[in-house]
Amino acid sequence: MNNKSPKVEKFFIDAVADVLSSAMSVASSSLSQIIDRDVQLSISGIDFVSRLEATEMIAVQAKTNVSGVLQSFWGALSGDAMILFPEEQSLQLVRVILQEDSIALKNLTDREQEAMAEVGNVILNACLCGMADLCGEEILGGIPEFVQGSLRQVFAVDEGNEYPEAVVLLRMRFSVVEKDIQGYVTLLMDVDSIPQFKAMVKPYLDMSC
Amino acid sequence: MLKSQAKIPESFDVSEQINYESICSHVFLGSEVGLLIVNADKCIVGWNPWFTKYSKITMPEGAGEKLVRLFPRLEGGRVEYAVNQAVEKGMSSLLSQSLNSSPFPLSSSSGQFLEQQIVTKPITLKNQSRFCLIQITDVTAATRRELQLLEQTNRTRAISEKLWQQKERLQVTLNSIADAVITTDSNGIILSMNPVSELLTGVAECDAKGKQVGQVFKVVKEGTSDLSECPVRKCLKEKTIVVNDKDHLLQGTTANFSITDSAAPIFNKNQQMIGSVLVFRDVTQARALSAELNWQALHDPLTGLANRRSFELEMKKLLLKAKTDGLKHHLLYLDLDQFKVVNDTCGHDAGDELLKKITETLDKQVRKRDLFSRLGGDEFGVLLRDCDTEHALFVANKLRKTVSGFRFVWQGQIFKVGVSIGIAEITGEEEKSSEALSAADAACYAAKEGGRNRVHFHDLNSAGSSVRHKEMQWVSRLQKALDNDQFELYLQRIQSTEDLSVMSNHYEVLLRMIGENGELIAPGAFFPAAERFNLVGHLDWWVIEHVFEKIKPLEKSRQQDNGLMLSINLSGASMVDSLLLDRINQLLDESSFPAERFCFEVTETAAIANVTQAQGFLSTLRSRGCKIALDDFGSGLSSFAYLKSLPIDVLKIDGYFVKDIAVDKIDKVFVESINKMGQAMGLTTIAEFVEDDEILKILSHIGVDYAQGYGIHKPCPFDDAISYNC
Repeated sequence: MNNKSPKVEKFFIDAVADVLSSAMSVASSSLSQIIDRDVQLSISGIDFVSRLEATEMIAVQAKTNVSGVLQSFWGALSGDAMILFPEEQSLQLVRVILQEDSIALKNLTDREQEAMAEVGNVILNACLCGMADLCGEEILGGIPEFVQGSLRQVFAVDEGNEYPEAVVLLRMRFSVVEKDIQGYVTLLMDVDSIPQFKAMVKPYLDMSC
Repeated sequence: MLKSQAKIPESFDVSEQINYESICSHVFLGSEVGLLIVNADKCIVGWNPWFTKYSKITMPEGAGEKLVRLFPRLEGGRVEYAVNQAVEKGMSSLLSQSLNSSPFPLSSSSGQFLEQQIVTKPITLKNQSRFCLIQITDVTAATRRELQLLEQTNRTRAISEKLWQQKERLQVTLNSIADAVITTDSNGIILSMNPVSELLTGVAECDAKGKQVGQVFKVVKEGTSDLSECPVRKCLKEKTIVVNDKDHLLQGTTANFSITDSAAPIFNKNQQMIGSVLVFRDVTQARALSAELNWQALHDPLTGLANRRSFELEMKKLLLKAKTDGLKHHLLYLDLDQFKVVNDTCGHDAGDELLKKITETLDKQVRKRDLFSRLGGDEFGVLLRDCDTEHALFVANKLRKTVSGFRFVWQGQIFKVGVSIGIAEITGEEEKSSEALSAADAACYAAKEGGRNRVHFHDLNSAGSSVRHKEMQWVSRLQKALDNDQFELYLQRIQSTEDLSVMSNHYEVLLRMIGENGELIAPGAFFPAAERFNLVGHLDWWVIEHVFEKIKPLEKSRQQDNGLMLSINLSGASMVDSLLLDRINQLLDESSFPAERFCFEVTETAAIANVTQAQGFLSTLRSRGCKIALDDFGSGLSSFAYLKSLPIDVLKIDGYFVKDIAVDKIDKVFVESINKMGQAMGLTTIAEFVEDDEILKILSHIGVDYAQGYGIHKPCPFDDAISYNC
């Protein structure tokens, strides 16, 4: 696989979008309960792109560093799921969640990173469960961890190299307490996982049609 | 950062497996985190000793129990949800301490609840049976540390914010104040400059920083080009505040400024000097204004010459010098002749112009070391320092000739003026500078008396000088007498000529001064001095106050009924004294003595000098019922026309015409004429200086209404005259 977007049928994309949208709905409900405030999660776009393209697309919004949560998955599909926010927005997000507006440190503390990891975990678990449901197979999710750095560091890409993995890139919006925070969910899958994924989704598509 | 796929150990050899399980068992049992295993039915399979320790529940008590039954607070919460996700979906979860407040009831031996971070993981065995591992980490200490750190950070941030605001305020203050401020380190190196200091020095802060303050702040003593010691240098050296409030000139790169400056050391809390602050202010305008005021205080604005004050100060200095150096100095007192003519005929503008021109001319005639000064009006003084008598006379004559030869032209008219000059020597023996000045003034008076346009050297034996000198001595005696009430009122009867056998009850109030030895001094001795030095008005006040005081006991007595009438003299100065008029009105209001029993006498000269004001003054008194007499009529050579314009009731014929009436036919005619004219105008006439019966008879014959003089009644004390009708 080269670094260009894999050709994926429109139906397939729509199906993934449907699944992930409903996953976001589940996550919204969980998060609202956790922080005792109304949280709205929505998807504003979905793409199947290469790892480099994903990096470039996120870079349009996140000019500086990003921070977020990384969670490995394996089973029917394997790879790394990430939720990422531009650094400034991640600060806002955590501090709104923790209701600690007075804190104005440049970086998140350990406690805050942990809270961020939990929030990301809730969203990513929902996405992975949705994907598992779509595939009709089990996907296992690992322990979430907080990540921070430049996009290239986070995505582990170097200029000039080719990265065959495909990325399901979700542009999502996180709204809480009149704050509107934009972030990304990426599902970075191994090369082998892509045809499996399509094959697993096919019965679902047939059923839908 | 991306992870490689997690590896799960799948198969071991039996021996390895036994060993591995043994290790795992030890890890499980000895772990410093809580480990709980829940099966697919969410029942507790087991937990490790850590969990027993903090939950205070033994394994046998919990094993096999539903998780939410054993820990009811977990039901419907995040832990239950995470466990479900692990066993049903195979998902791992992280439950952070901040979003999950102590889910498990775990507490330390001291009873403190444990802050917990919880991870739930799916465990899938080979037989596909699913379990959930709940891993609980005690984050109490870490959480507390972090919260403390946050609190400290917030506190530090608040302090920083406060400090920043203070710094901003200070900066804004420094930038806003009108004073220039420069700060330096302890070596005098500039650290900061505010905008005003940049403006005054002409150096920008960015260029000045790092330089020695003396390179930017260059100060010289005014009037010199010598650099003064930089106050900062001195302040740092002596560790004290250095203030310079005068004569300092800052040499800016674009302009120089008069400044006041102060430098103060800055100490830290350990009393170590860490630098200095230099504050300075542009006082160019204030200093110029002060110089201007100083100049004005010591100079005559019209001519630019030194004024009287300045002259007197110099005199004092010279007097002190004369006492020690033994040198001779002289003082010239100049009084212009005929200046009044120019002033009266052409106005004050012309008079001022004349003074300026004369001054310019005379100024060229005196040496630079001499002081030429305008003492007032048309009087000037010249201090001739280190100058013998011969040279003083030479200078005086040179000045006199210069003025003599001067012609003043004003609007086509040519005026010739002269100058009378008095010279006095300053020997150092004078007690006061005023002595030398009055000696020169007296000599000048003598020069004037001697025919004007001449020079007179002060000589104590000279008649003119001594008169003047004596007049001046009278001034202080008069002042002292006024202060101490050393006067007495006398009365002289004014006798009706109608029936000489009946003594009239009409008197003129006269004034006597009581001398230092109790002797009585007639007004002829002190009146000229009082008139010349403007004390005559004070005498009028004294007389009026004391007359009303004297008549208080008489107000209801026989004297009043007998028609006592008092004539009181008023000077020309009183004609313009509205306060005196108010006071007379007040006294008349307060007294029950009828106003028509008072007659106020004013000389025609005094009345004519200020006709308008005299008319107002006299009319007011007349309207109250008082009589008004025109005194010394005939002596002033005034116009009869004034008689019509002045509100008068009585005409007093000057004694000059009366005293020789028995032997001088012209005087007799004069008196007859005045009397006739006065009576024709309805005025009562009084003749003064009636020294004997013969004069009285003639006056009686002429028909003069009243007579007054030594021949009729010698003045006697007020009380005696009233009591005994002497």
